[in-house]
Amino acid sequence: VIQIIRSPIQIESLVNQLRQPEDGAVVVFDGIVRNHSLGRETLYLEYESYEPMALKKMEEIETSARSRWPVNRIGIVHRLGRLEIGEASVAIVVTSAHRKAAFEACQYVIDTLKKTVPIWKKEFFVDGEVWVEGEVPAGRG
Amino acid sequence: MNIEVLLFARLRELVGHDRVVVQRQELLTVRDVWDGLRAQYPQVEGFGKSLLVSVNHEFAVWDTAVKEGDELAFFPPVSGGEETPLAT
Repeated sequence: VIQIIRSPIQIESLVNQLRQPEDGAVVVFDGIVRNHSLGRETLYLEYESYEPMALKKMEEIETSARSRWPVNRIGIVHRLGRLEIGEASVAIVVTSAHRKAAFEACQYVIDTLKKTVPIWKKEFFVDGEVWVEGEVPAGRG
Repeated sequence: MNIEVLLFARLRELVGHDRVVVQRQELLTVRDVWDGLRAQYPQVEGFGKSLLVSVNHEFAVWDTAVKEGDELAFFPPVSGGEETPLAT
């Protein structure tokens, strides 16, 4: 299951949709909007995406994870638009027969998603707003 | 030749549009499209240091060939990201 949505992520229904009798492990990562960033108090966030490319990159991540770990099902759901503190912006669900594969694949999926999927977030503070952009690697640019 | 360019996040706000048409007599590479964009929107000057580009939904580089009908997008590094930006 790979989705980009604009409504709250229903994590329980995603898990129930994916889990099957042969699963011995279900690992869930919930990415949550926190109330602070670099010492400033966050009011809310806005996410935007280049959706066709983002969906393609998410599918590539799933394919890549499947080639590395013996997992059963993978769910990747990202939410866009305005999100309040405490809401989930992204959910990853990985099911497998044994926990090691599910843990490792889940970490790989979220780490890779954050690096390669074209989704941007803007943080809104009491006294301003800022786009969060990835680091420019040292020596480049 | 005209090429439609999609813009996202801070770059979109800087230009004031989420898609623009870049017109050049001849378009050969991503670099030519960026030069055309810079000519039409001087405010993007300086953005090239932390820029990513895609052609037809794949990450591309300055020398990637571009032809009419390609879907080109320029955008900042993704929010959690370390994808190597275009070197200037």
